[in-house]
Amino acid sequence: MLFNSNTFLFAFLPTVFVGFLIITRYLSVSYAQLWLAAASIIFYGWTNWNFVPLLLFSIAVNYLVGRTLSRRQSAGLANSGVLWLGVAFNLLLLGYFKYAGFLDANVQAVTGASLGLMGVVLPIGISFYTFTQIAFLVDAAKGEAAEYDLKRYVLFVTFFPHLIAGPIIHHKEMMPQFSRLVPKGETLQNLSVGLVLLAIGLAKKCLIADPLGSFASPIFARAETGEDIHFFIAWAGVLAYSFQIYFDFSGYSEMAIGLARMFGVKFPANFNSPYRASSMIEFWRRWHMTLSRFLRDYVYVPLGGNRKGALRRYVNLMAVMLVGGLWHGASWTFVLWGALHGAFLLINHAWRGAHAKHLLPGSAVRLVGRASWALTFFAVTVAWTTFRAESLDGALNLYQAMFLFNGLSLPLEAEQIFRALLPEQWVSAIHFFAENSRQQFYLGLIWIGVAAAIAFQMPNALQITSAAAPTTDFATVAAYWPKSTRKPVLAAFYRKVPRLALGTSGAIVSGMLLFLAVRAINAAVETEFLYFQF
Amino acid sequence: MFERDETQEGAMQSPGHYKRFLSIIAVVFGIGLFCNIALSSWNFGKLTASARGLCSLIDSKVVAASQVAGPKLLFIGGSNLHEGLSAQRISETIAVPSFNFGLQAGLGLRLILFEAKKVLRPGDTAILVLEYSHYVDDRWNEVSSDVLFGCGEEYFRQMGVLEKVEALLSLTPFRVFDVLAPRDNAATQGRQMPPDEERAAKQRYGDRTSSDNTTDEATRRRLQLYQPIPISIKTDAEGPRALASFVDWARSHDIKVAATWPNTIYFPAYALASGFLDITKFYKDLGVPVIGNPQDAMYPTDLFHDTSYHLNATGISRRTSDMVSMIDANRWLLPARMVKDGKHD
Repeated sequence: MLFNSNTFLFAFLPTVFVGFLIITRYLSVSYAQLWLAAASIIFYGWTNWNFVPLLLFSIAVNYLVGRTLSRRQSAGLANSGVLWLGVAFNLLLLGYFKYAGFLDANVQAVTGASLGLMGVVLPIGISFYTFTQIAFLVDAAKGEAAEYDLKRYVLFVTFFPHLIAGPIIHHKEMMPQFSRLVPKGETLQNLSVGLVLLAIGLAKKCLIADPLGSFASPIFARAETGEDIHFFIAWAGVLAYSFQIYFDFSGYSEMAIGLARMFGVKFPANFNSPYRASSMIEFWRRWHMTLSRFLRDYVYVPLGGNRKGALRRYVNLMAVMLVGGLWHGASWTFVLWGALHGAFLLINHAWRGAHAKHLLPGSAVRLVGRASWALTFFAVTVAWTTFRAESLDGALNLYQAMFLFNGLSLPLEAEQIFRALLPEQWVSAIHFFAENSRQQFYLGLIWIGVAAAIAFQMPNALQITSAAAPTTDFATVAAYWPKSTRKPVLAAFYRKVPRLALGTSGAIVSGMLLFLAVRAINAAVETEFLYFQF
Repeated sequence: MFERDETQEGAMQSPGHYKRFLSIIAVVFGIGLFCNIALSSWNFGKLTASARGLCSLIDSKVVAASQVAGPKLLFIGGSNLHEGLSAQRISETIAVPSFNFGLQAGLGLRLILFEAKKVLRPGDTAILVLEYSHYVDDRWNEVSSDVLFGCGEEYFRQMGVLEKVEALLSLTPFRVFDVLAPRDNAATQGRQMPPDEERAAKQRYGDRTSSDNTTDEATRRRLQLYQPIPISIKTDAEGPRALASFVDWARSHDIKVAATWPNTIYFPAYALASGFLDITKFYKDLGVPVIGNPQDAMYPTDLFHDTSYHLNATGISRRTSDMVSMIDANRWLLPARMVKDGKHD
């Protein structure tokens, strides 16, 4: 079931919420937990019941392994063997459903023989619930996951706001909250904050991400067929996708945080204005933050992190980013995307190291410092090309166009301006093109501009609802927000937003956003969230 | 600036405050929905300048096609057909009544096929000549929504409840402004119209009545700089689903269905597009024969007059000759009674 569907918004959510209120009022928290767990399983199985047994099987095995680990840990027994078995079970499950086809395709490409694994279907959400449970097992082995109530564990894994596309949550931050669902007197506040976040997330998805997707998809499809793609079109497509994926996934995450909050549960933040980052290190502290946290705590640190020298640190970083890339999908394009980000991070760390040792000339430091935000956004955008392309050939086709190997191109409408400004021999080197659907094309470009303005300048959903501390890690998130801004109009706006958000203006805007989103959901084609495929 | 402010949060905790907050959200949402539905209801039957043109085109084609005597070849599509084929010449050449049921691609397949069903009779042959956009989606857009509110009440009445909600919410503010402050339809201004008799003859066959064959320099330049159209199909989109249901309906009414490719500008890059095969496979799965190759309907830029789908008079003549040859090579297309009577010889 999609958050952006009538079924969810007008049937599932109201039913589950009203049922939850009645149960917490007249029965007990324990029944409320059961109610939410049952509703979450229905939510998961709504479009395809075939994968529900797999989800329940994964939960059962992890619960048993986790409890064993915890008991052995309390008894002072060594439990690394049990932990490895548990982690291996999860990796095998994920490996079979997500990577068997990829492995088969590669074996086939090299040997010509098939392993017969090409038809394996990816169960929705498996990457997320597997990572959530791997983290749980590691925490259990360390004695950091002490609570073992079965229904609360089922709810922890299946709770519908995070089940399909995250955020990736920790057992220790969720279980105490599930034990005391809806502290008295906070129901209305939770519902209000949740609705504001749901409205923002829905609007980001339906009003911004989906139109950008309609613009970007045909361009990537053209690149995939091997057609000549030229400079302007390639950049327009890649920029549209860069904003599409941000508004799609951050919109989804905000909906998830808002929906959980309606039931009195806080999730960790997943996005914190990543396109305002001025370094790749900072980007990864702002983009898909719960995946970054998982990779840091459960891959990078166990590999030795930065404790074994600079070279080992770089190797670890690259390994982490490759795992991160491969986690997104079984394809060489995702591996390349991970490798690109790994390389960017290495450069960033090396630069910082050299700067700390005063090895860099002051002019270079100043220049890079001034261009750091633009450089970071440029690098991220370039990497998205590989992420979105369906094949390495498609990505290469786009890169050729983006980096002028196919010449410089501009829309026909710009011709007169360039003729007036530049010498004839320069203009004659430009390839002017006409788009078949001019109105749609320019609307698409305008939409990219609007999305950029919001992503770069507007307060994010967590800033808007900061008065209600919307996430579990709110203090960490808030540390990244600017203490001041040089733009007086924006400064006043930023100052007032948190107060306005939960006041009359916030309610009016939220009501309007909900209406516009519902209108868009009904008048346009239903679209899945991009992260449902991962 | 945004750090958690405990006093601020504390101040927000009065239940009365949140009751009011939630009430405002509900009221604003409700007002939005109510206004939208009220405006949509008010818009039904009101013609904007663009809807007037399209509704009259649909009406005239439905009336004219209904008057065709005996089994016929009905070419169904958008404006690639309306501005790309002469059904009159086909009828005269192969001696089989033919009708050009080309409307406008923007109407979407649901509306086009709904109108086509009104004029199809048992024994007819429907030849689908759809624009490539029809295979990707069929969401309500400015054009289809405009026509739905202008003259699509009949279509609206037979829709399911959820479909009706979708349609009502598709009303655009631009349409409301157009109804309140009507403008002239720029698209029909300045078109050269043939003499009345010729026009009446063309209308009998559903062919384009304007005879503009000249293209100004700026448009010619644009045509030369056009890009290839993206070719793909989403079989679960509304358009292809409407197509599948149309094929079932046609079968149950003893109507033959075939498909062919729309006329469009030739690009060498189309040789690489795999979308054509996907579309062919889609038709094959439906049991609908596909006549000819996509490249058979691709022509050089100088045969088009304004968009990548609209042929000029020379282009229409060439496309019609090609279509006649294609029909000749696929005589099973002809209505059964015609073949039996030998009328096509």
